[in-house]
Amino acid sequence: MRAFEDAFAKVISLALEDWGMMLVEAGENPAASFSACEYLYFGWTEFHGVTNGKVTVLCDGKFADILCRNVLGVDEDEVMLESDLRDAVRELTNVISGNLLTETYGEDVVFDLMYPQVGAVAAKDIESFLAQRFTYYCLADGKPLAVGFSRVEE
Amino acid sequence: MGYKILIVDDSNIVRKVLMKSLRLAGLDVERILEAENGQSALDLLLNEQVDLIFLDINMPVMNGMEFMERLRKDPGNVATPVIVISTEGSRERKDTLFEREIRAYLRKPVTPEILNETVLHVLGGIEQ
Ligand SMILES: [Mg+2]
Repeated sequence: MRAFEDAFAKVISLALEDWGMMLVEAGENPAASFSACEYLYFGWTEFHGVTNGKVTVLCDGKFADILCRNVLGVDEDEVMLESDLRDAVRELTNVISGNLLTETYGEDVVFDLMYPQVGAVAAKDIESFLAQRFTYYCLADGKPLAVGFSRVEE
Repeated sequence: MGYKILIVDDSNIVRKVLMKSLRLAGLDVERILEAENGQSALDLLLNEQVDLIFLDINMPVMNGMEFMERLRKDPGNVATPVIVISTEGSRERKDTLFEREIRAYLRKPVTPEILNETVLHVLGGIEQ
């Protein structure tokens, strides 16, 4: 379990601090934080190989906005396109899933990573998302983010 | 004459950031072309000769692995320099890409410093 936690923390730091230029800190009570969000994005991708499964990313709409602005270097008074926000969440899902698989299984294992999808998620589905066995939760620039990792046989 | 560069990545924001970094790197860039998957890139290369290609691996329609295989079968592109930027981490895939003679492999996310260093290194060896 510890190894998984460490892999998550390393990959999240790489994706959000190095790429997204956001400040990552530990968060508490994810269900309440996500329920308070006006809009949520949900990114997911499947992987196939020695084991099959799914990597999922749940984040606040405001989080996607900050991430996208930081990556593109866009000022706060400029309105971001919805397509760019979804693009940012898709690329984040891609960066997290690829790096998480390598961090967890090493460079000698080959996985086929599917093309990530992005959608909206209903508030009622948040609980079941967070109930996954391997879920990592944190705050980035004060906005909630959760990453789930599930294998098919689990 | 400046360099003609092709960026192949499904992500619009990744392409935009790459373009910005390339322009800021102080390179003599004549034109930057974009494609959102391997197939569009191959279509574009039917009419364009470029000096350098940036390639993502995980893309819809045609991924970067298949693109590389097809690119090297094209007599006009057997030696076109390619820098792969991907989250793909397995040694086997990287070996396959180097067998197809990519010039560099960078793991996403890439910092502008590493990008500049790699581009200068790769373009440094190309006759204009
Ligand atoms: Mg991609």
